[in-house]
Amino acid sequence: MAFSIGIKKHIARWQQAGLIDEVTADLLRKDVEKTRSGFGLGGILAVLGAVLLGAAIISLVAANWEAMPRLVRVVMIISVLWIGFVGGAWRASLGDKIFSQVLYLIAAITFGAGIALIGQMYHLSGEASDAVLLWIAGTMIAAFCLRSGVLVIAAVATTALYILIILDENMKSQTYLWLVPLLLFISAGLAWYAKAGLARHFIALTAITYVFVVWADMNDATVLWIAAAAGSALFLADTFLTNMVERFSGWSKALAGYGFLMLIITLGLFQFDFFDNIFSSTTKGNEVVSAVAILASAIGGLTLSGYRNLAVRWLSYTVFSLEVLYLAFKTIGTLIGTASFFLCAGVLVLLLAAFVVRMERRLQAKTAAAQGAA
Amino acid sequence: MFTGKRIIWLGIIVALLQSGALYAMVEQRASILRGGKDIILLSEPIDPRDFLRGDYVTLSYDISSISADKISGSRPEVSGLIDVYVTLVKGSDDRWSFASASWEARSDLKPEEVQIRGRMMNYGYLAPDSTYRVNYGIERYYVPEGQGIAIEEQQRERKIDVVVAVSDEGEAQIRALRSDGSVLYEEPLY
Repeated sequence: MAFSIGIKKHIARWQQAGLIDEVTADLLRKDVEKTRSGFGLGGILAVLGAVLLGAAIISLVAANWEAMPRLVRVVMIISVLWIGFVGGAWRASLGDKIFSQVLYLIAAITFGAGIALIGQMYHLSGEASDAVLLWIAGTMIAAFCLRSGVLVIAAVATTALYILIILDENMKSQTYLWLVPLLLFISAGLAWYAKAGLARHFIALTAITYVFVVWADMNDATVLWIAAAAGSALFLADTFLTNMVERFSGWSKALAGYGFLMLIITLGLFQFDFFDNIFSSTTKGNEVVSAVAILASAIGGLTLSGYRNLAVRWLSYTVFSLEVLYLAFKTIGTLIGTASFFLCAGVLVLLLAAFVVRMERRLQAKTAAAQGAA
Repeated sequence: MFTGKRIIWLGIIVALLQSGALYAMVEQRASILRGGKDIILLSEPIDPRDFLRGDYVTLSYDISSISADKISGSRPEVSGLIDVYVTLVKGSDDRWSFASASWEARSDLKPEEVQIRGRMMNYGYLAPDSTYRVNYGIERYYVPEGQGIAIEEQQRERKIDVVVAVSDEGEAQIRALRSDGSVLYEEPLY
């Protein structure tokens, strides 16, 4: 929304300066209006409102549990469920893209809270993870039937919740190892079906979380090696086989970005030395190797696809800067006083800034060249 | 996104499915209370730090830990949650206690016996001579805020009797909590 306002300002300025005529200006304005997604600030506020309202309903029911007979509470929960799903569907039938989703979201939250409240009221002492699985299944079915993007995101979010609960459970079964990938796969299908572009980011982040939870749970460094390999593969696939990945997934750049993120996190874990037994050499050697790998990845990311992939580009800058500062702090930071440290840090940050500025100039030239060639 | 009348029907279907799932949770328990056979189990005090988590009381029973050599049959090979069937008999003080246990459900129960199904975690490294921790779905009783302490104190003096309804399939639900013959909580069906 803010973006489109800025663009309109520019169009007005260009028109005033005589760079474009009125017809072009109008066409541009119309195009901005058309491409603007219907889910602007208003939509986000509406969703936030829905979450708050859902929380309010639940805590109201939970807090007054002594005052009401149990069955009344169950009926109340089920009524909210019906208002949410049927009311949302009614709004959708009128073409309302915001309040239909808001009502669906309230209903999805109510379903989860209903499972928890009924478990509590009737002293059902099952595993929390089973309860969350029921919630996920219900939300996925709803997302499929109503073809709702917000419900797909809700399903992914509850899957992330499931991972957290599994981590916490002491009677832990290994089911989640295959169940979470399956749930994410279904979510990806639902995201495609419901045309929920935003949900893909949630899926990617949950998948990365899953990988590192598996590593923490199994305490096996092999998982990290696989994560690093898979991350690099995604990044390289986008770099060298752009057209193929794009045709297959329609999401090549973002996939490369998330792959790159996974690689960087893995290298970071190696660096912070959660395990000494990976490299046979001493801890010091371990740190040097991983530091070199991190810097090399950042530079590799920049040079290989930084000119066309913004996500990789900014991730590389950030990682490179943080790593340089971290190394500086680790090596000379302990040898010198605070004042000299700030001095060194200041100089370093300025050097990094100069590096980013020069790099940006170069990458922009390369982008222009690539576009000229295409 | 769909539009038109069809989506309203889809909304109704989703609402029906989800309220059906919630109702099934309530009804499953009610059916055990309705048709199940009542037994009385003495609840044991457990580590006081574990007694009250939030607003529920943790109940532990004699049969919550079973030594492996008392379970007949061979332990399933699968990893994860597995079932174990415990047969109980009534003692002279009306309380029920452990008689035998098996990895398979018994179909030759005597009239004075009740079989309850427990679940436990099957780890690969479980030793044949260890003690297994078994859950029966009756380990948790939610109480109104602040009342947990009273139960906790009574439980510490080994005085809480838990009346449990057990279905023919061995599923269990708490019907009532008693102390010295007086009823602390009695569970309505719904």
